[in-house]
This record gives sequence, structure tokens and C-alpha cells, in this order.
Amino acid sequence: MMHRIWQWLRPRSNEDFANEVESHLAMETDRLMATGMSEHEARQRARRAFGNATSVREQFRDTRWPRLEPLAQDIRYGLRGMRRHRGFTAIAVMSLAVGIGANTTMFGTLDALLLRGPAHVVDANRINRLYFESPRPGETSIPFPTQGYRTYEAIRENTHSFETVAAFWANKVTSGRGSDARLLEFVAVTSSFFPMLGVRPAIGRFFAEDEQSDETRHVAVIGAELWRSAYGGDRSVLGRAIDINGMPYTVIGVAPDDFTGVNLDRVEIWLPLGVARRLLAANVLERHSGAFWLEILGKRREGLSPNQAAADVTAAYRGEWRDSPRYQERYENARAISVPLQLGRGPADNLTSRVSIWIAAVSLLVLVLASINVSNLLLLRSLSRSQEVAVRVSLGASRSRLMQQWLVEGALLSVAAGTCALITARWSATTVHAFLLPKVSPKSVLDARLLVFTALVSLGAGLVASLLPALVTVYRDSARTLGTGRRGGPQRVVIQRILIGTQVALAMVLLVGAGLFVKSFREIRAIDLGIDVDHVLFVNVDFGSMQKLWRDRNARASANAIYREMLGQVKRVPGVRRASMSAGSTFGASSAIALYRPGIPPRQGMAVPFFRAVAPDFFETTGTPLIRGRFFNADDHRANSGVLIVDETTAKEFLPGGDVLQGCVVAGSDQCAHVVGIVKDAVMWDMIGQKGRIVYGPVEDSDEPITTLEIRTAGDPSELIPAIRRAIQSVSPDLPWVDVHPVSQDLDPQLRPRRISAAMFTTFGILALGLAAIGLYGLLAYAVAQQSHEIGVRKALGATDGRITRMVLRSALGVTIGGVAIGLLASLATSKIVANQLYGVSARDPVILSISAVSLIAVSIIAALAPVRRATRVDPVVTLRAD
Amino acid sequence: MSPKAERAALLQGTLDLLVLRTLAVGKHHGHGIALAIQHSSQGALLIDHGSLYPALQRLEASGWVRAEWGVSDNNRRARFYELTAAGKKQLAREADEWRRLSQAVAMVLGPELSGG
Repeated sequence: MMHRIWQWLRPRSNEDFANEVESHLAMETDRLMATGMSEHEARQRARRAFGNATSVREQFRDTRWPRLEPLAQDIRYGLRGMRRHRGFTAIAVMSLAVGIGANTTMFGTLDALLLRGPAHVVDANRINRLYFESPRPGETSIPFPTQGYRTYEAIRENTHSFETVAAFWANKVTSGRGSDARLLEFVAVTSSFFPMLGVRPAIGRFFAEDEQSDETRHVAVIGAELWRSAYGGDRSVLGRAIDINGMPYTVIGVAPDDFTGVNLDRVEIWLPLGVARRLLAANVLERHSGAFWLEILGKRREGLSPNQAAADVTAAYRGEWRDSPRYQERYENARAISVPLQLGRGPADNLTSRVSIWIAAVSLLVLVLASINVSNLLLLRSLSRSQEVAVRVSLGASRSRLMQQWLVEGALLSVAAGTCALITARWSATTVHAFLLPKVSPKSVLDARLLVFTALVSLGAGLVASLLPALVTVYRDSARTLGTGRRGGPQRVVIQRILIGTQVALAMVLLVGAGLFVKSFREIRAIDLGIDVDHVLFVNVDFGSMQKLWRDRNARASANAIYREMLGQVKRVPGVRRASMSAGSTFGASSAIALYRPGIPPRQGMAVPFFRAVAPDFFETTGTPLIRGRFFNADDHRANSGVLIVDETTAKEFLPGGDVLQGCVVAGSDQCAHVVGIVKDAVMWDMIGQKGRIVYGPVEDSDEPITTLEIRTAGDPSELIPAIRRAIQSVSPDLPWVDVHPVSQDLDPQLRPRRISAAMFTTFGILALGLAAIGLYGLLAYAVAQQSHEIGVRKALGATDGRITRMVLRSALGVTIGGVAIGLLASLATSKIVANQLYGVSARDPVILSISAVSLIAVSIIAALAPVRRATRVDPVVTLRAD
Repeated sequence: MSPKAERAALLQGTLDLLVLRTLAVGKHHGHGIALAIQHSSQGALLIDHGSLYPALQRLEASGWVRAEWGVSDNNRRARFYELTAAGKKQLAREADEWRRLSQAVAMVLGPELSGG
């Protein structure tokens, strides 16, 4: 085998061959001379015995490239056929292009999430993310990636499986003041981070060991994007200062283009972990509660499997908690998991990668459907070619040669389709990528990987589509003799009915999927979030360390004063209906409060409700409706009023037994607070998860740092953002970064993947419906053409148009109903897998199942209309004359 | 009838078979193979010497023979061919097929024609 490949790669030269011929002639001349001939005569005889030397040389050349000539012929022939049957070619190419395009579109996103390592990372498959889980009996354990600094140290010191261990923490931080202020996305890293990933700085250097450990070293590495936008890509940026949280940091290096660490989100600035710990006040947090904030990476030593490394980490992790009796029980069964770097491959429940994989799987289904469709179309066309095949067979064409002809035509179709797919992918892949990975800018959608992928998928689809027609035609038609090939046998129509039945079944599955995902999306949209999502803006000012505000009374008071002043300014902006403010917010920090009826303290370990201190008009601003009682009045908004409002869930779970509005409740240190109202549950973090569990108190009665301004607008809240920002800046010219955004923006990450899966399923469902219709139409049109003789005879014998119509329709509906039934079974069989992707709709929703079935049947009747008309127009006189 | 017409022109596939058969005895150069075929068929088979070489090339491309340059008995540089393992199998296969075919043809022709 190797030998043949070698020969193929290094064919024998013409010269070598000519030498051999010369050697032959010389030997023959020698032989003849030995019989007594003269040299001249011997040479001539040798030449004559050799025959036509030119033809021999040509034959030699042909043996070197044995298959090229027929292949070129097949391509020419195939192209001619495509030109001649333009309609057929267009439909076949479009079908395939749809299937290939769907896959090409998804490839880039899936590649980024699952296959390709992060940009610039060397040896990515030896680097693992470390996840942890501590399963407890009776609970589903959810692996989590974050740990405290102490765990990072324990793993670094007490394991032997890794060359390097690194940790990082991603967050946002304010840079600059006043109108120059902006929010930077930063990642704080250990000094081992960059060397582990094998990344080199664009200019300057990365962090040194002592810069990481020392909390007073204010150095930073900036991302290439920030370098260009804020410093014009000037090398002199090194050594300059950048303001972080009001402190100057020295820029020591610039990270390379598109480097995002191990995640896919944009990073504007890199900080050493030491100063970041201080930004977070992590040491305080860690001492008190074991804060989980760092993600840990390990680069395995050569030859070690991820599982071996994980076992090593597990031992170190359990050891770390062995000496703290408080946590020991919890960590006894803890386990570490090594996870590949690619984001979509983590054990965490990642909505985006789940949705991406789903869509990719469905686009594969569409490709199968498209291939079947083209297969079917090719089979139909083959009917008109059986005569041609029979002729070629009788002229001595081999079966493999005939097969080659078919496969070449399939390949031509797929090349055309692949090209169309690539052209559309430029647009569609960018759109989908932007939807699923909004923060990741693809360097280029059409990269080499995508091209190779598309080429492989196209050729694969083309070959698969042409294989069945090739086999059927070659083996059936070549067995048939000349002159009898006019009528397609009944068997062939059986193959086609099976193909179309399969198409209908797949279309059914896709339509059901589309229905389910659209309904699910609408259900989620329709969730009552307890907030008027379409008219509310949130404003947050980043005053730096929250920790400082909690600790330092004066800092808190001045920050709260600024919020109060801002509230006054904002209320004057035209278009603002109401405004309020609160300590704690829906998607941000919140404190908690113990709440119970006097004498009935809550069970140990029971969850505690969130506490939110609110200014006047809060509920009117957010649009949270009152269920019973009343909102806070002017009288409540003073210090020590001792009144509360709770939501429904809080009332039910924490204050059961008796009317909540009557009598005292214990709230934190207040032994007798009064609940004056019950409001509807409002969203907290997750749209779909547990809502509510919030206790509201007047802001005047609390001493907490204000975190959020709530603003209710008359129209689209986004339009007011610039005006509100100006009003806020008028309060103080050197405010840190002020974030003004509509509530819908907080919800977007939760809605976006669901929106696109609904959109993609719908698109695919409609395409599938169209493909099935094309297939069915082709089959019926052919059947009617074939049966025109029979139809003519029937008409001559008195069959009515109605009868003929029924005959054609029956054939169409037979296939469709069979397909629908199989598709229905398939949908029911897969309902379990889909169920956890859905919200508020059963995977076996009878309405969706029946709508899908009915629309398929309706479409198949429409596809049958034209063939039916043709059938009823058959003229019996013409038919009989033709006999 | 000219004496030449009694000699059978070779069908393409048959030439391959004869070459393989000749090489089964041992290593040979093209000229030697040509003489050997003529000799062992007692001059009944007519081949253009030239047609032998594309055939050898074909066999080599199929991996049934391999070739290398060497020196002939009378000190001429020549390309020597020998059977590969695959070539030996192919020879067995083709010889078998040929025997079956000639048997079948003989049966179809029947005794009266082959006798007359």
C-alpha cells in the first residue's frame, strides 16, 4: 500500500521509460547480430519488432494517470446535465445549500465553545479548569468552579500532578472620574497565569511573582483593544499610569490581540491577584465566610491523565478542610473534577452551550433531510436516464464507471451548494455568533477551519445524496436490457415513497420542536416578573469597595447623600414618571434579614429572606403590585417607624399561621415590627427560578448603603439614558462610573439563547416543510406522468375527475400520513430529552403536535394540487390514439 | 492465408497474464520476457515488443511487479522485473479465470468446430 502511494506521489519519469526502450532495442540488436545479421539490418528489424514507439510512449503516459481522462469526461458531462436541467439543478443545489448552510452557520460558534482552545494558548489540552463538588445525600450536587485563595494555595503546595497552578478572577472596575469615567472589564491573575498559557506580551512584560503577592504593587497589563482605543497603540504607554478605582496603576505590558485568557469574554485590563484581593476585600470575606471567588487552572505534567490530576486535587482539597471542624463534614466527600479549557465542555449548566449544541444537532438533521431530498430528486431524474444507462452498459461501460458518473454529479451539486452556503454563512454565522456569544468578537467568520469543515460537509452530503440513486440505477438499469427501460418499475416508487416518508417524519419532528421552543419562549416572556420590565431603568454608581461603604459610616453617609441628590435631579428629567432608590437590587448585591413570628424562631439552616430598604414611591416606580394592605406612606418614611412590606412567598414561608398584617413580627434586631402590606413576588436574579422572598423596609429606617436608583419612564427607557446621565453628572463633576441601563438588559442573557433557539427551530421547521413539499411534488408529478396512460384509459372507461383526483391524493396522503405518524412517534420518544429545555410547555403538548401534523398534511395537499390538475387534464383520446 | 494470420493477436488482459506467468519463473528484463513469451508459445503468439512495456508499467502501478535497474548477461543496462506477493496471488487468480474461460469457450464451440 505504502509502495503504491509512493508511486502515485513520485511517478516514473518519461526519460526512465525511454532508457528502458533504448535498452530493449540494444539487446534485440545484439541478439539479431549474433544470428549473423549486419548491424544496420539488425537495428531495423529490432525497431520493426518493437512496433509503434510513439503509441507505446502514449500508453506509458496513460498508465501514469489512469483515471484522469474519464473523470474529466464525467465532470464535463455532469456540468452539461446541470445546465440542461436548470430547474432541477437549482432545487437540488438550494436544498443542499440550506442543509450545509445551517451547519456552516453553527460551526463557528460550536468551534469556539467546544473544539478550539482559547486564542494564543499553547498546549491547551494539558491545561484543565478545576471544578469542585461536595455531594450530600439526598441533594443533587452541582459542580462549581470558584474557590477561596486558600484553596489555590493548598492545591499549589500539596499536589504533584501539575507543572503550574494558576488562579483568576473576572469582574468590572471603574476607571477615571466624571465624564471620562468608564467601567473596565478586568481579570485578576496569579503571576503563573500567563506563563502557564504560554502567552507572550505584545509589548512590555507580564506580572512578576512579587507583584502578585504584594497588595501594594499597583501595576497593570492592558488589553490590545484598550491600548489602541485609549493610547493609539503607542509604545510609550509602558510606564504610564491608568486610574483604577481612584488609584494610579502603572502599565507594564500589553496583552496580544484577541487574548481573552481562558474565557471568551473581552478583557480590557489585567491586574495582579494581590491588589485585586484588596479591591474585593477578599481577605476579610474569606476569613468570615470562606468566600468563593477564584477560578483555578492547572497544567498537568506530561503523561498524566485529567482524572489522575483530579484525584490528586481531591486529596489536597479534603486535606485543606480537615483541620476546620466547622466545615469538615461538608468537605469529607468533596471531589475535584478536571475540565477541558473549552468553555462549552464544563460540567456547569451553561445555557449558551446547551442551546448551541441543540441547534447544531438540529442543523445536522436539516442536512440529512436535504440530502434525502436531493437523493430523491436524483432518483426521479434517473428514471429519465435509465435508457441512457442501458445504452452505456451495452456499449461496455463498467458498473464502477457508471457509479463514478453518478458520484461526480453528486460532488458537482455539493460544490455548488457548498459555495452558496459559504456566501450566506458570512452573514448568518456572524448573526448567530453575535446572538449566542455577544461579547466575543470573532476574528473572522470565514477562517480556514470553517472552509475545511464546509468542504467536508458538502462533499459528504453530495456523496450520500448520490449514492442511493447511483446504486439503484446502476444495479437495476444495467440489468435491464435495451428497449424495456421505459417504465419505472413499482419497486423504485417504493424506495421514493420511503424517502419522502422519512422526509415528512423529520419535518414533523422539526415542526414539533419549533412549536415547543416558540411556545416555551413565549411562556418565559410572559412570566410575571413583578417588575414593569419595559419601562424601568436601573442606575448604579460604583463607589469602589462595597466593603468600605459597609464598614465606614461616613463614607456610607456621603455616598447615600449623593444618591439622594441624584434622585432629586433625575426626577426633573422630562419623560421620567417616577423615581425611587433602594439598598439592594434585583440583579445586584442584597442583604438578608431574619424574619419570624415572635416565639416561633425559624428552623436551623432554613433560608433567610432578602432585605431591601426602599425610598418613597418604590413600588409605584418598579410597578410591583400590591396584594393586600398598603404601600409605605409619608409617615412610614422616617427613622424607627418599624414597618415592613413583605412579598407573598415571604408571608407564606416565613410568617405562616394567622394574618400577616396583624400583630408583631421579629425582623432582625427589631422585636416588634409591623407588616403593613403584601406585594407580589418580584424577580430575583433568575427569571425562571425562585422569585420573591424579599422583605422591604423604609430606607430612612435603615443604615445600609444605597445601591440603585429605579426610574420609571413614560416611553422606551433606553431613549432617556443620555438625559439621565447628564442630570446625574450635574450632581458632581467627578463621580465614578455611573451605570444606567434598562431592566431588560439584565434579563437579556437569560432570554437571548432561548430567543435564538426558538428562531432557529422555526426557520428549520419551515425549511423542512418546504423540502418535504418539494419531494412530494416531484414524486407525484412523476407518478402522474408515468400513469398518464392508465389515467387516460380510466377516463375513457368513465372515471370522473373526482375519482382521478382522489386517486392522486390518496397516493400523496398515504406517504404523508405514514411520515407524520412516524414523526409523531419520534417526537414522543424524544420528548424526555427536550423536556428540560422547555419552560411552561409539555414536550407532548397535544396542540403543538396536532398543529404540526395538520400543517404537514395541508402542505402535502398543496404540493399535490398541480399534479392533480395535470392528471385531470389527461385527454383520453390522445392516450388511446397513442396506443 | 499468410503465415502471420495464424498467429493470434493478444487480447490486453492476456498479455498481463503471460507476463506474470513468465516472471513466476524468476527475475527478467523486458527483452527477456518478450523472447520467453514467444519461445514458450512456440512462436504462436504475436506480440509487438513495444506493447510489453506499457503492460509492465501497468503491472508495476498495480503493485504486482516491482522493478529495478541492473546489468544484463551481455553487459547491457536493463530494467529487471520480479513478482511481488500480490503479483503471485494475481497470477493464480488470472490463470484460474483464464482456464475457466477457455473451457467455457471450448464447450460453446463444441467438438465439431474445434475438430474442423
